[in-house]
Amino acid sequence: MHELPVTQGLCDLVVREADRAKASKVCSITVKMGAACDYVPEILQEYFDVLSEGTVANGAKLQIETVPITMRCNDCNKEYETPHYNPFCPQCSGNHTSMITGNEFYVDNIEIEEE
Amino acid sequence: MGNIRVIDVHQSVFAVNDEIAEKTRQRLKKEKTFMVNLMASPGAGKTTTLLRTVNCLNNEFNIGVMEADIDATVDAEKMAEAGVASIQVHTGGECAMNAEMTKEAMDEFNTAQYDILFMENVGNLVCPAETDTGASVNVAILSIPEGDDKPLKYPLMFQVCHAVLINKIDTREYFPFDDKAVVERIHHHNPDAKIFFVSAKTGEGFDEWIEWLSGNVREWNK
Repeated sequence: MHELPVTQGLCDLVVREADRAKASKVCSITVKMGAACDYVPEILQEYFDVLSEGTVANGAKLQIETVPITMRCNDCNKEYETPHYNPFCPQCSGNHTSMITGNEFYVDNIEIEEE
Repeated sequence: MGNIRVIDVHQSVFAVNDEIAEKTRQRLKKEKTFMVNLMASPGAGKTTTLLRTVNCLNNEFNIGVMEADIDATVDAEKMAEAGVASIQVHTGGECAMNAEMTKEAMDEFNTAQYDILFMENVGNLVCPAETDTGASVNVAILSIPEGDDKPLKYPLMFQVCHAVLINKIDTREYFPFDDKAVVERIHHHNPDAKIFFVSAKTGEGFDEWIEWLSGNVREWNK
């Protein structure tokens, strides 16, 4: 059920942008999702279909593209990609690391039909 | 059929929430209110821990409690019975508090009057970890009966926490629980997390937790 609030935020954002562009219809939405976000794409789509009812975005297809988790070591500046969140630097074994990508959830672009 | 075109958006879905959360933190700092976002599974002992914590601190600090639940008012009633200023917030079915709901509850509760504001989030180890409420710190409670494997199963919760209370240590003889393993598992996700072993029922272990918390409150509110 944790997909519901994030899908509402997604729907609001898309409708706002589509209205601004005077779209008559939104055909598809490209979403970049960090690999550390464990949202299920099928559930996002199901919620989106319901939440977008009566809006210009109804019927749009969500294209979810995964962004890998990358981390940076604040001690030795090593940047590394990891399948799961891992705060331990593979180069110096330090644990002063920051996640650079992997937590994002943003709309990259929308494909619209103009009147 | 009209023209088809692609519009670049490049906007985070979390942007609206994160902006409100950041403004809330600035407001808390300005109003000298330290806000603790308390998160845990249902039944981990959030309300009992909160009651004992408030009892330990209310001689020094003016304290308010926001109780967030999907429904009912039992937690706010328990607080009121104990003489603690509290407000019940209903999330309307949502599985966690977000920054907008937190801000509205703060306005309604007039929180500038408090030195410490506790927000007991909805009982859940998934959704509350995903949403920044604007609190000064995040604290999670994990209780002995839940098991030492929870940091493996719910990594984000333990990543976003500044402190973790391992609660119900008075039940150790009934449940297998590996202290060393749980500390390693939490620190694997969050090397800076403070970990306190406590019993909200007996008060064991509370001194260190209270010392850490009151030190943070004084630092934030100075």
